[in-house]
Amino acid sequence: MTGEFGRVVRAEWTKFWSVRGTRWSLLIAVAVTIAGTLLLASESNTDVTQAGQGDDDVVAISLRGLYFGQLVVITLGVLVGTSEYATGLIRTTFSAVPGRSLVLATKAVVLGAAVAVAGLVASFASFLVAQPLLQSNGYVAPAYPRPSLVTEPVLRAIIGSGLFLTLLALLGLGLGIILRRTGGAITALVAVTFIPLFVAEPGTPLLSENVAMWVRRTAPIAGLAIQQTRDRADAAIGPWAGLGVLCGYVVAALALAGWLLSRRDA
Amino acid sequence: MDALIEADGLTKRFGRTTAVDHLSFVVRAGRVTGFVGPNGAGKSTTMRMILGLDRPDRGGALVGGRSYQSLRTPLREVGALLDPAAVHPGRRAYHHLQWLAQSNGIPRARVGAVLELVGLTPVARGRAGRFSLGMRQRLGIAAALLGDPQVLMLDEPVNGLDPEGVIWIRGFVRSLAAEGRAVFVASHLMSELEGTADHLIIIGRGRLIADTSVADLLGSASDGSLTVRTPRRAEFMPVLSAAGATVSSNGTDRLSVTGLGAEQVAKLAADRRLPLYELTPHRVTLEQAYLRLTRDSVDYAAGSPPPDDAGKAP
Amino acid sequence: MVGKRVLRAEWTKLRSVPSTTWSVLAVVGLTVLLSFVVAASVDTSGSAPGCTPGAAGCGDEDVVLNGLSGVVFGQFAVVAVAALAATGEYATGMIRSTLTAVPRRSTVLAAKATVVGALCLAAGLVASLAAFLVSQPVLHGNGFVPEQGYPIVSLADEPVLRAVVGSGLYLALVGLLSLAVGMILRHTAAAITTVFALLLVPFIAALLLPEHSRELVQRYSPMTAGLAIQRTVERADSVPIGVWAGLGVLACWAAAALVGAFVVINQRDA
Repeated sequence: MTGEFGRVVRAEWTKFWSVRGTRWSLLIAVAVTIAGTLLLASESNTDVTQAGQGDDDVVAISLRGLYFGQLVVITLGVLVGTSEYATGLIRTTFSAVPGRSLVLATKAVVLGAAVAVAGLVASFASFLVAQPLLQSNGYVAPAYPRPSLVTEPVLRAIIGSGLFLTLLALLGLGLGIILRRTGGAITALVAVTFIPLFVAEPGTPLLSENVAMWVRRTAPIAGLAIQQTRDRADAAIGPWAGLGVLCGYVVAALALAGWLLSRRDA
Repeated sequence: MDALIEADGLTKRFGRTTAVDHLSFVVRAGRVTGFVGPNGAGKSTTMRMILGLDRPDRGGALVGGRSYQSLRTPLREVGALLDPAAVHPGRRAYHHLQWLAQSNGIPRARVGAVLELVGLTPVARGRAGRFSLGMRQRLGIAAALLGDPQVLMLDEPVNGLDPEGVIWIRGFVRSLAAEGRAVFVASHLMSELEGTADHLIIIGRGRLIADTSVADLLGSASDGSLTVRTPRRAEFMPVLSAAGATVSSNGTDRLSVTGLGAEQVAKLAADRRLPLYELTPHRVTLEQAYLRLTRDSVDYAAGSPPPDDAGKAP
Repeated sequence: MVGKRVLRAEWTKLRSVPSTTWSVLAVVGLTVLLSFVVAASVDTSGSAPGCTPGAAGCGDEDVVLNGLSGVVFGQFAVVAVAALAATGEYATGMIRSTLTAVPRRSTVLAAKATVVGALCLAAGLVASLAAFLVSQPVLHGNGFVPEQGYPIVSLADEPVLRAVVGSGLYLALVGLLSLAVGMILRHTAAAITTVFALLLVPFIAALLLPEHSRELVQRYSPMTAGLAIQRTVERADSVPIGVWAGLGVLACWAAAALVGAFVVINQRDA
């Protein structure tokens, strides 16, 4: 059984990398994340805080580029799910490998591994690149001691951010297979990911405080809570709990996708 | 394993249309079996069901005595060409075959070998989106051959090939059958299969119309008539009638004679010193036999069906 | 006249695809849904009963803006349908049939833009109107009444009419922007992602940036400037640009993209 899994993983790996767009997407995702962090970090300063002096989350600020990188990663995930349907290649895949759950699992493994690596690179680079900028903007001791990479909250935030991007890509994969339409799946996932930022962002919520809090807790973007390294009043949910929420969405989407794959004609 | 495809009561409905209706047949090893029917008859749907891509509403199909889904390395047992356009346009031909090979544990050397076999080696590094229809067809055939399978299922393999390619694939398909494989070729054009197929499975509107060898089909369709050309036609006609033949005039100087063999006609003419300029047995083409058979089952006919070639009623 | 023929052809193309119907339904549905949710959850907390309008923390919720907030949700469906109207032809290869039937490429693009723009405008107007009509009673129920400093608003009021019609215009312009990007990039996923990036990245940046840079971004980016048209009450956190000027910014973005599309479609092979 592992022999077969290994074979199919290798095949999906070849498929994944033999399309030019994949390489570019990952590069763009990393670049956009780092660029976004740079831009936001260079503008941040200790004079303006969202919730009072001296409690900015420096680590979270260094990882803000992910807000932008997630858009690229969503698209990549959806494409891995839908591109074979567009060309009819899905039939060839299923004649080569009749086990449909196996195909889904290996696609998820390949996509997940690639985005995880890109996500970790992006997160680490973002963090490292942002530190000097933030320092020069006034984030210095004693109010803001320099965060050390090898401490638990910092590592958790960085690695967790890589995981966040991975989970989001997998959610795109699941949604792509469920809907089988590229445009619809990207639109749906982007809408679900970003709407909470419109209506429930702390500070200027359109919704009432209670509803906004609830939305920030249950939407997929709750996963970004993993970036928190300080306790703040406006935190909706704990870091791991937030990532767990996103995990739940991913599991549900992939399960539904697997079930549909086994039921539907190719 | 036995090189066999067995379909048993395959039925598939799409909404209110029954695409395949209780279809049962066997495809055996060592010969080329043509799968023929008008457009929309259900050929592609049937092939997809055999490959486990579409789920039949009733019935099932076995390949080598097993269901397709149960095969560990299906590409090594069954090679299928369904849709030449089913390639990612941005992917190189070589990589398309490479991932297929990897998925079934087929050695990498086979990729180069099949590319060589179909004549695509010069463009192996090209992106499939740039390929002409004929090239994509060849790529699909290469993919079907990758695992060196005992069973081959090809859906319209001649489509898009230039004349040289058509000749090549006919010979190739025959040689594969001669090696003992079961070759199942679907086509909506009987003329493509003439000279290639040994056995025919003819369907129309999803139902089986005929499951017969090519020889039997031709034999039953042809009426054994002869075309005779002689300058002294009027003189010859009563002679032939007296000998028991049914004779009719044909054009300006021909006779159509049924009921006598060619040797008898020649002897009758020689006895009376009547010169014969032509004595030809009337051969029905496979296409004529097939058209006659499926006349009632064509879904998409353009205008009225063409008259029978010899002008005679069936 | 060539133009009329081509217009009719493009309209037939657009309306005979099932995804168009779904998208239009989604535009209206999503807009109304979010507007309803916002209206149901917003409340007048922070303002004492009976206080005079204009006083700080009192009567300065923009009920019209809140009632039209669903438009940010509906715009996603607009992006999808408009981008697909362009990229769908390239994906299927139908663009070749189109350009064989109508060799004047500028005509084809103009017709597409007209048809898609009109559809998005119609859908947008229906969506905004529905959102407004649905949200106002809900807001009244939540305490946004004259006693609290919130006069009942109706479409007869000029600012309200401007906000509702303007929201429809906003969606039409977003549609034109998406169509143009689709014609330029020719690839569905790339086009949709690019338009979302254009709309969302500045918005998110504005959320995370401090005061001075935030205002700059909000003024010149398509979504935040364009949504200014919905504003009927000046607040501290309002986008610092005039209502029509803001919509004009979005119009400039759409126009620039359309110009790019015109240039590109005439240069390239089909």
